[in-house]
Amino acid sequence: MQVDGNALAGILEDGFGLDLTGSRGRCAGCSGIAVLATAVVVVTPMGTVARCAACEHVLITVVTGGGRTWIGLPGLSAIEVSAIEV
Amino acid sequence: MTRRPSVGWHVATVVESSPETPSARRLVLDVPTWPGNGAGAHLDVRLTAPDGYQATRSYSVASSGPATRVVLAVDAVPDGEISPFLVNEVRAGDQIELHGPLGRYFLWPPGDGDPDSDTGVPVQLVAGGSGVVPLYAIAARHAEVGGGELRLAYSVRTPADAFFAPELTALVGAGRLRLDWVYTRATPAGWSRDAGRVTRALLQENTIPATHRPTVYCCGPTPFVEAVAGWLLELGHAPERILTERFGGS
Amino acid sequence: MSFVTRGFSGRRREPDADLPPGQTLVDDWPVLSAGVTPLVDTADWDFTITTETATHRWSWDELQELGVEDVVVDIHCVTHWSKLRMPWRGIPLDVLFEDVETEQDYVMAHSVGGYTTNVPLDELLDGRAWVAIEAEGEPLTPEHGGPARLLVPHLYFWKSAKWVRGLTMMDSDEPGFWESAGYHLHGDPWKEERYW
Ligand SMILES: Cc1cc2nc3c(=O)[nH]c(=O)nc-3n(C[C@H](O)[C@H](O)[C@H](O)COP(=O)(O)OP(=O)(O)OC[C@H]3O[C@@H](n4cnc5c(N)ncnc54)[C@H](O)[C@@H]3O)c2cc1C
Ligand SMILES: [Zn+2]
Repeated sequence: MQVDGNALAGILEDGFGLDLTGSRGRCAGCSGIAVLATAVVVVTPMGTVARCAACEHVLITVVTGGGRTWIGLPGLSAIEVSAIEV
Repeated sequence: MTRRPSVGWHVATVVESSPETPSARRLVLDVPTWPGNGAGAHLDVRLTAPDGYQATRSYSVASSGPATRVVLAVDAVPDGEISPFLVNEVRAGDQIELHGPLGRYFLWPPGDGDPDSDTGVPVQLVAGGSGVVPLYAIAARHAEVGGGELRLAYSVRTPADAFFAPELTALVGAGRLRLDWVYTRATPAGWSRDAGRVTRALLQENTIPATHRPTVYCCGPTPFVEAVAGWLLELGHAPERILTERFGGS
Repeated sequence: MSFVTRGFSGRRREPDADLPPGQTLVDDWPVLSAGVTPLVDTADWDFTITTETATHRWSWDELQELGVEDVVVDIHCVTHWSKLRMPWRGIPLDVLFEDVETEQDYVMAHSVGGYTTNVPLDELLDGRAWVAIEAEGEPLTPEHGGPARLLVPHLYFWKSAKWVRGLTMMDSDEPGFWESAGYHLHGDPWKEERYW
């Protein structure tokens, strides 16, 4: 099922303690900068895959199973966290 | 950088479950540890079976502010794993686990719902179906704190399928909100337009023009948001002023 | 797990004793996809095996001419469903590898759309893997990976890459897409090799 980066808020907050939905990240595929919430997110029984809305490059993967969670960041060159309240 | 201590997992007790539409219910939750939330936020609901199996889904919060009473409105998706359970099985006294508040991107006022940020900017809300839940929270908050022009275009199948209809009508009555309905399957008696899906022309007719530079919040089923966001760009709205939240579905 | 939601059991059913651990039998064939379903025209499609020295290439028609085989196999998806005695039709990888010279022991399967998955070469040989073109008597639909998908039924089904278009030999067992993201490098359902 297709949603968007808003749906990643909980899992990323669980993993990193940050609400990254409003953060800007650079795509390693097209070098574009976009707010995480605008990523195209597909939720499947195997895992969740977030792609760049501009070039479809895989930015983030999330796999959950057996009581464990893996967050992959294969396509994010960097993501800005300085704007987040500390 | 330190963790924001207030966001986290909470145990909620269902205070009330009441019919919202023929397929949806409003759930009022008591969450003693809830830190309050900005308007437009969502949370994750986690259900746990006796064998340890867990399932998590996101739901928008219809309420905002410091209260520890949290209001959700859940539409039962046919054959869904979680939403029919929340709609048909959950009753007052039940406990569920919540994670939140979440989703700072979709908050109004922008920037973590900071009340000092500029609230004078016109706000256009565009909702499809249950996508009105966070937008109702924004409308109610906007009505409370005041601000620029506020308008909601709300697409529903039939009049009975509208979420928060009495509350929205009250905001209109109080002069706080301009509300434009789009009925896709059946209209009220004597409605001036035939039932039909939102089109670009209809969107243009029922929204604040791009020249007024509104911040637009658009929320609903993924195909609805895709279509509306595309038309908003064509109508001249700047991409950074179009905020979108896709609920899924096809 | 201390917290239990009253009345909630979820969609899962009881595991079946005759299946690999944690698996449940299904009759239908669930579709899993992590992106847009590519629509592949067999006229533009070819299949390649790339080694350290050469690229071997077969068009759709050339592939069929190598000899198609009917097999009946059990499949086990890592998302906990299994389907037994499923009829498939495909080209055995033994035939494709007949004239391929390589010193490398590992394979990365590549798909249209960028998906990859890794398998040791010896697990693709000896009648254990096919380039499948039909299932249950019908050409593979795009949703199920058509026109061609890898079929490696003794490993979890994510290894049976949909929309496959080539194999690249590797010196070492590099992780593919899901293997990088948290799933097991090997993926034997009987050993329940689901995650790292
Ligand atoms: C940020 C966010 C906020 C959300 N807020 C709300 C909310 O306030 N109220 C609410 O009712 N829902 C909301 N949703 C949707 C909700 O998270 C679930 O997706 C929905 O309840 C269906 O879950 P399920 O387990 O019943 O269905 P699943 O078992 O996950 O899916 C079953 C089938 O229904 C389809 N489906 C799934 N979701 C939808 C959908 N939203 N519309 C139509 N078809 C669908 C799927 O394609 C699938 O085929 C929100 C989603 C997100 C990402
Ligand atoms: Zn990109």
